[in-house]
Amino acid sequence: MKHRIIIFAVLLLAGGCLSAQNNGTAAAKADGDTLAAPTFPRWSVGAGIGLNINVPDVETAYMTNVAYNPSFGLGANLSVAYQPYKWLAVRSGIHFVPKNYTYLHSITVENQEGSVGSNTNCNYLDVPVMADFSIGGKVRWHLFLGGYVGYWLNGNRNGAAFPLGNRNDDGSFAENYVFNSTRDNRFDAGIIFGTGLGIACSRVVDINIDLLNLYGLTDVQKNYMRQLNPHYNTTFVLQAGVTINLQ
Amino acid sequence: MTNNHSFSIKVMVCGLVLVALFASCRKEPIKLENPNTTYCTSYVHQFQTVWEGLDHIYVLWERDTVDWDARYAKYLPVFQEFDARMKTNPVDSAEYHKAWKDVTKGLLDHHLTMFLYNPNGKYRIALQPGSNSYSHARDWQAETAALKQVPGMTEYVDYYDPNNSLVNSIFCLLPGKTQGKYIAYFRLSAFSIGEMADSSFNGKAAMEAPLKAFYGNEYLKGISNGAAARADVESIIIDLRGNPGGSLSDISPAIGSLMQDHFHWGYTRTKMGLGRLDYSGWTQFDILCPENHLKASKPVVVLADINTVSCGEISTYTIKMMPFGKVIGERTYGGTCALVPNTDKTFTLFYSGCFGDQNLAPFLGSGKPTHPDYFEHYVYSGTYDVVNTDYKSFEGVGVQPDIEVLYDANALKSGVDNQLNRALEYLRTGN
Repeated sequence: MKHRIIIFAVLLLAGGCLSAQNNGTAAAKADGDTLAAPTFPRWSVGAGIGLNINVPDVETAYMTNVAYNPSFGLGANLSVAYQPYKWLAVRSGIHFVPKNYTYLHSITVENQEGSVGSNTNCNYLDVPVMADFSIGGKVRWHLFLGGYVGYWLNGNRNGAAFPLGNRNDDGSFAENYVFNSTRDNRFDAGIIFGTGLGIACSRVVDINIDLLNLYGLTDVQKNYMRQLNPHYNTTFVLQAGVTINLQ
Repeated sequence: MTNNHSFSIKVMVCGLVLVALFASCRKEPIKLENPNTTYCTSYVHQFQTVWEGLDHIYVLWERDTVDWDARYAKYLPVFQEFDARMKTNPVDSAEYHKAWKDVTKGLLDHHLTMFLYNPNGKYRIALQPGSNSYSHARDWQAETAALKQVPGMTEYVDYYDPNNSLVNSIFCLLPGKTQGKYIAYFRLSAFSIGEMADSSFNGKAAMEAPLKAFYGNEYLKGISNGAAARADVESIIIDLRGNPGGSLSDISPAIGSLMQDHFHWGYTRTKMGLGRLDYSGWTQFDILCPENHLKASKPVVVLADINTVSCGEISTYTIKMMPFGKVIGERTYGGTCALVPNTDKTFTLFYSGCFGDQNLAPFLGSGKPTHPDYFEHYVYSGTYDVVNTDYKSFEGVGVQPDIEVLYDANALKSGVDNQLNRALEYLRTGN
């Protein structure tokens, strides 16, 4: 079911872009190219910052009062693109992407409701390689399709567990994430797709607003135990940035 | 331009198809049964349920050296064979016990105790994988007799527990280093002080007498008007030999009251997630000093041995780390995980440690299965992993004594408690 939804979402995205392509082409003609026409092929570089929400995909089985919940993060990116044609570019770069999540264990003790759990912040450095299809004139719609590989750089977590004994505190903890070479898979890979809007401010400078979906295909855990439920990340990135066209 | 458009659309569509295909590459989750409530209908079902329960709930996987997946592969055929001959040649309790003993052999948790019920033969087995062959039986009567023979012993008070046929707790004074001063001796056979205080048992006064003599009337709040606070008591012996543990909340009044200030013991964590290595963060674990505690330092010796377990070990280490504390005797048992055993109330609170029908455990219920037509199980194991401030665990290794004096059964038979005598020597000479 989940896969059908994804396929549907991808097709919807494409449909939106194809529709935008027709409108954009017409708009470009109507605009009459107020900026000097760019020449192709050309290179461009860019930088941006983004707001991420990571959605962990973990089955909790019989732990019915436990949930792995989405969590926000702030990311940044440096990008480089080679654009052989006006409608197509190949885009890559380095993305700093927090893929955070929350473990929430709801409990009821003596009719008092509460929770224990943790907020885990996982910082990744991802390298995407995307085809960037675009249409339009001064304002261009983009469709991004590709893949990424990455590395789990570091992390930290904080939260609360049941304290032991009669200490009058809340069992809170805050610590750097200590990687376990048996469990943690620091290699990250997946597919990336999304859409965006590019506004040409001049012949050299574009402003971009993109919405990307990093759909992880690697489990964040190594296959270290027989009965292991996978843990995947799906990260949505809303990013804004500036692109400098080098030619 | 039209050709370009057509080409670009084809490329996009191909890309979309590729993306959609890749999106289906994620592994599907595994269906898992709840090991706390599953009613098993065969040997294999029971094996898989208990194996999976330990796989997810057992708290010491990060330190344990047992290859748990290999155990599954090796012993699944054994239980399949049990199922195959269920009607023709039923499994007897010895076979059943051996199979489970082999499955769990070498698991590190020294609290781990398993109760497994076979509805075919209608028998229950119990096993404790961490039990060690080097433990020895205590001779309470001989120890008590030896204590009574110490020259100058006075103010002796004990409580004899008729249910367990042992001297539960003892207080007395023994001659100290200085003329006219004393060493207060207190034996605590289990951390059940809170239970005692709440008890409506009609022999409660007798039960409380040694506690009141040592700590004072308000013994749940620490040391008040008991001998431990007296000016003529210059040092203290806490005898935790054979102490199997008990309630952690007793440590503050019983041991914390001997300290000058709170003691940062270390850290604890529980499981947090179904993966073997999914844990909570480390949370601080302190032994609190109650309001009524010793205001001036007095040398304290704890007598410990291989039968000192759990809270007994936490207490032994606490005294070992005190400025004027010493541990004399043997290394302790090595069962320092803390646990919460009542799975009917606490399983969903922790998903860490114990699981199954607690009624199977005689110390928690009737010792009989709640559903006798099924292959029931109860697994009693640590809820908390416990380490000291250096993140060192004592599980399986115990707390080492500062002065080692091994148990000498022959000496004890002749009325000499060599461990007690060494403690007296240390407190009287400083060496």
